[in-house]
Amino acid sequence: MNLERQNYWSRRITRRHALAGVSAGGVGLAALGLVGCGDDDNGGTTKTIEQKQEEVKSILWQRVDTTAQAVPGGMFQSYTTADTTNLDPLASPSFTANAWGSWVYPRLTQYKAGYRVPATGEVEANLAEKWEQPEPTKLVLHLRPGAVWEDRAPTNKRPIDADDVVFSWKKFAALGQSRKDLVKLPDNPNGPVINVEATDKNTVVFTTQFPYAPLLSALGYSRYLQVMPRESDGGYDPKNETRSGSAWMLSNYQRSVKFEIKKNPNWWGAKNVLLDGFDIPIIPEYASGLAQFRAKKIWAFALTQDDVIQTKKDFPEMNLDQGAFGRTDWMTYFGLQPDSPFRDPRVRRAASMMIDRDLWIETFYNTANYKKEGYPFTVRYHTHISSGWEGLWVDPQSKDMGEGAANFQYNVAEAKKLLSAAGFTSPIETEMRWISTGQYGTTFPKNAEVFKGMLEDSGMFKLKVINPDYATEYLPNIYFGQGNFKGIAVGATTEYPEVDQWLNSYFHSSGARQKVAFQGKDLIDAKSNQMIEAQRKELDATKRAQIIKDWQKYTATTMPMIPYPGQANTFSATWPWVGNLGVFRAWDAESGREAVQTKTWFDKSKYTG
Amino acid sequence: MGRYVTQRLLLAAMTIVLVSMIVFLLLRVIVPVVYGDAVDVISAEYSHSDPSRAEALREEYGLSGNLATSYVKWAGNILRGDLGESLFNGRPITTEMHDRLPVSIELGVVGLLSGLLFSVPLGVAAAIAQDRWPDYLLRTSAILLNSLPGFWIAILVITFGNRWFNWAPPLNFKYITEDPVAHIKIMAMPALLIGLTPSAGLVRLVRTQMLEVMRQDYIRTAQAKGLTQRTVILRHAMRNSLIPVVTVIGLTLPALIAGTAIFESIFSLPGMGRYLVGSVSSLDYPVIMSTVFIFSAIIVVANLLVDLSYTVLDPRIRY
Amino acid sequence: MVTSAASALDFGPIGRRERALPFRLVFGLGRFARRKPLGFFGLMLVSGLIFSALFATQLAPFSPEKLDLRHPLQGLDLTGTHPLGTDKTGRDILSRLLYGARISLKVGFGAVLISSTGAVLVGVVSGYLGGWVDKIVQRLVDAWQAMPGLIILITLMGIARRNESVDIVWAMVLAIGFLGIPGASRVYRSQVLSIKQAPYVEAARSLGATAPRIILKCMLPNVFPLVMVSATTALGGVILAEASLSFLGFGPAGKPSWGQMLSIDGRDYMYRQPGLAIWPGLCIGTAVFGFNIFGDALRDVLDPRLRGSGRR
Repeated sequence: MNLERQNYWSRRITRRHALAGVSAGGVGLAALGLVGCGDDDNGGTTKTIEQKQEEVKSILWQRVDTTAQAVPGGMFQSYTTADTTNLDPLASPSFTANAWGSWVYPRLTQYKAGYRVPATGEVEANLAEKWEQPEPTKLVLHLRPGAVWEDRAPTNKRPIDADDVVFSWKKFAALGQSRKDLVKLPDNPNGPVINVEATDKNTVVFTTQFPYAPLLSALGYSRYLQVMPRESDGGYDPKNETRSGSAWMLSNYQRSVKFEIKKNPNWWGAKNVLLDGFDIPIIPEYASGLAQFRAKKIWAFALTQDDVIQTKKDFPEMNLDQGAFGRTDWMTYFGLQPDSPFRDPRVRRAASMMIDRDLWIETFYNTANYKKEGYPFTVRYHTHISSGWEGLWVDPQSKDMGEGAANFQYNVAEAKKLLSAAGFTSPIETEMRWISTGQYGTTFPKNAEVFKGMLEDSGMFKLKVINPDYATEYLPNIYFGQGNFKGIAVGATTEYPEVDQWLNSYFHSSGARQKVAFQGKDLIDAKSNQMIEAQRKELDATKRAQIIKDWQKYTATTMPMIPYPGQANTFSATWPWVGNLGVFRAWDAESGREAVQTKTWFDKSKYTG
Repeated sequence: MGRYVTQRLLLAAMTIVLVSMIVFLLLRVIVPVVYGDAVDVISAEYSHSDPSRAEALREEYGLSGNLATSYVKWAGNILRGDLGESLFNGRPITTEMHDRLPVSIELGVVGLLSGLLFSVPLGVAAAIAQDRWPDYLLRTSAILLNSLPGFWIAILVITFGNRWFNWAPPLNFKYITEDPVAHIKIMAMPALLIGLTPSAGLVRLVRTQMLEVMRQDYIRTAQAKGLTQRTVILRHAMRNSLIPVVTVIGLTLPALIAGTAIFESIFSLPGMGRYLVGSVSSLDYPVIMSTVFIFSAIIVVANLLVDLSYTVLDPRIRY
Repeated sequence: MVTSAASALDFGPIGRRERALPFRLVFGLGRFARRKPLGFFGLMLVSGLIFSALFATQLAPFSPEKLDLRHPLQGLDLTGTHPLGTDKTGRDILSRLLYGARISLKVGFGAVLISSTGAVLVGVVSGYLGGWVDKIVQRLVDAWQAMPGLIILITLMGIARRNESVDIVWAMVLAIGFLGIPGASRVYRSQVLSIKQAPYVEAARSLGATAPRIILKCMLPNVFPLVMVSATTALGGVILAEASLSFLGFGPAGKPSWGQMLSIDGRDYMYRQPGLAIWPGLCIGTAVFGFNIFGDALRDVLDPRLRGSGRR
């Protein structure tokens, strides 16, 4: 689960660096609803909040589309924080291989880039040029003619054909890390796709066992099917080399040192690609990376929110861009053994009420300082889906949430009442587990410590902290343990391009990552299951959205897990010579390779490095 | 003399064999029993372990099977120069070592040598000024420097070097064969920093040795003969005082090379240390076994060379 | 030569009625302070460290775990509530440093105890018995010493982490201690070798003294000063080793050890609040410094010739 250590571009769409709910042009920043416009109790400066807001408005990057003036050429100086174990996206134990594969191996569809506004997850043509659905359970895709593999042995500019797709699917179904999300297998009877075949050189047919609404979206996700050439089985070593069929090529890879990406001249959209490529050295240490960024050696950097204000002050010429909301929603979840207090929903709801969500968000999104400096942002609470799912998320602070809204409010008195109704009048002594090694990033342990602190501050919990080993203890017994552990656990979740995979994987009783063993053993939440099954089969978008909203209102009352409190907008900084920054906005980082990074360009006239 | 050398060689060889057995035992027996093996790590990443698949993987990775035969096979391969392959990307370990070991060795050697450049004169100066204030100052500063964690100093240097001077270490790594000038620029700062801590210890050692030597009769004779202090020190005192210094260098260097992991991570250098630390987390046991073994062998060889150098440097030592 | 170690510790001329122990200690300390002011300073630092660790609960203004989310990343403010500032979740740095001393000292003393005891056992017994026992043990010691320390430590710590009930601090103590045995054992062994041939040992043997008795009465007392010196100097190295392990992520998580404060709490905030990393680093440096100069002075006092050169 190497979720955090990705390069800048992929981190753009994590909960820190996601896309803004900013409307273009005229409506401007006021529409964002600045939180808490009150008095400035700073004391140390003479500027009012309004003056600061004006200042910030002028320094926030306006997302100007400069494609018309764009000059092609230049190597973008990027960076990444980790090396990869190998380069084979369909057979690797970690997701880093998928991140690198997404540069070179094409996907059947892609997510349409948002133009100055966030993307919506809408799917458009990629390797598949057009498609139709003759029946609800069949999807016929027509590959675009003229798509070729890399001009290098053994692929030698051969056209990409349907057999490549079928070959890649078979490999994914056998070895792919996330195959259970999509493929029906003997040990995965609810997998949607039952067959993939090539009916001719350019046509592929997907057959599903029930009408599966998210299929087209899934085909654009880099962690599912990336199309690899048949020659990868024997013609070259896919663990250490690649053959491109997409916009970019991996021209040079030195382990532990750097990746070099170059434009693929044989890609069908090559004539519109503006950059020559990307230099991506591996910089594991945050302080080193920041030093490189400040010295203008790398052009974009994932600053922690704590560093944004100071960096902008040190380098006023930097472009500051407000991000949108992320779609990841990490969780605090419960052990559900027979003697566990958390089997009672009242106890879970009480625990949820002990979390001061505003304070938590303030701590990890730096909102107090942003407010003082006049930076615009909005705060949103997560429900059991992330608050980044526009159009699907129900705001727990609004009336739309119904009676479950109370469970998201910080109310220790009410929590104690619930606990005593459940039979607990003295502090509950139990254990709390989270990993302390770096797999989830360096901020994660602090998230967990704050949860612990808040639960204990209520006076009703006494928690013993245990830090299990990631691979041999945490993953098998806790993450995949389906609740068969003692106490409370805090952990990360996987990012999905479509909310269906999230709901199925984490909340359905047969889901691959479900944390709610009580569904699998003696207490199946049939209502939740039924709603999840219904939404995946509902082909009408509005009806489907309603089912998902109803599900959130339902889970707000049962509180199967406590979602992370929420998020606020984050800010990212880039040097001004990165042209078209933020104008084209990707749905997820890895799909941005064809849709977004092809439109970035190097404005030499602004270069001061 | 010949007997001594052969004896030493045999002993070193025996030690290397013993090391190989210990390493093998540790990684193929103790770790899998108490902890888990690479297959456990891999299957943990999948949604749930697939027992039959795990068994097949174990076969493929050579994790099952008779221990004795596995050991013989592994040892035999090493003798033939085949260090095995990484479990996760199949790259031959020998190639990795070929690329990475020089970087680590260079870091260690250059670091220590650059440290020597200022620790020897400083140690001599401290000895000459014994118990006066320059001596105290030098000794205290040396001990202080030796006490601070090297990686802490490195991070401070990067952060404040950048804040105050807008400096950042050179970014694109180049091997010495590719671009010698760029290579030197890249290695300069990390080597300097990595040599800082041990060289501080060397100051004290040089000082102590000089003091020992200066007390000797033959030094007094030289001084009585009327030679200048400078000649006395440079020609007579230094050579003899440096013998233990050579010993300590010989012993420190391999340990230093083995400990470059943190610096390589901070300065993004493609050395052995980082490779090894990364393999430990994923339990890429062929890599761990081979590299630990190679490091140990280097240490044993270094010890051997130090022992043998005694016979050259100090005619009194004969066994 | 053999008795010089004993004589260095003897604080009164032969024949005079010996003063009580406390007086001897105080006089000894006074003499030590005069002769070796630097070493005495080191002793003071070390005592300060031990004092802080023992009385951390009383000295610390806050609990090291206490969160204060409304005051994160505060800086130096010597007169305020948080004199040395706070970390990302508002925990008080001063308190955490004080409690961190406990871990550093626990690991330091624990590991040195293990390595000293082990080294004495191995070195003295092997040196005294000689013959093929000695040869075999020495080969094992060679091999043991050849293993690259940091890597083995990481592997061992990785194993320890697997089991939730294993206390990481004790695992560190054992691992570091275990790895320290071969180096020191060599020094003790060479001391034993040089004593073995002494006349009084021969005499004891001819009188029928058993091997354990000789080891206990003749060898150990002469090895003891060496142990004192080695141990004190080794303490510094152990504290640094703990810092390195924590830096790489293998240290005790959830507990405020200095190495951990430096790496996990401090590293990401070097621009925003460099104090988070600077203070723990200075603490580590001061502790190691104290042990080192004290150890140096101790060695000077206990006769330079007993130093041992690290090889034969």
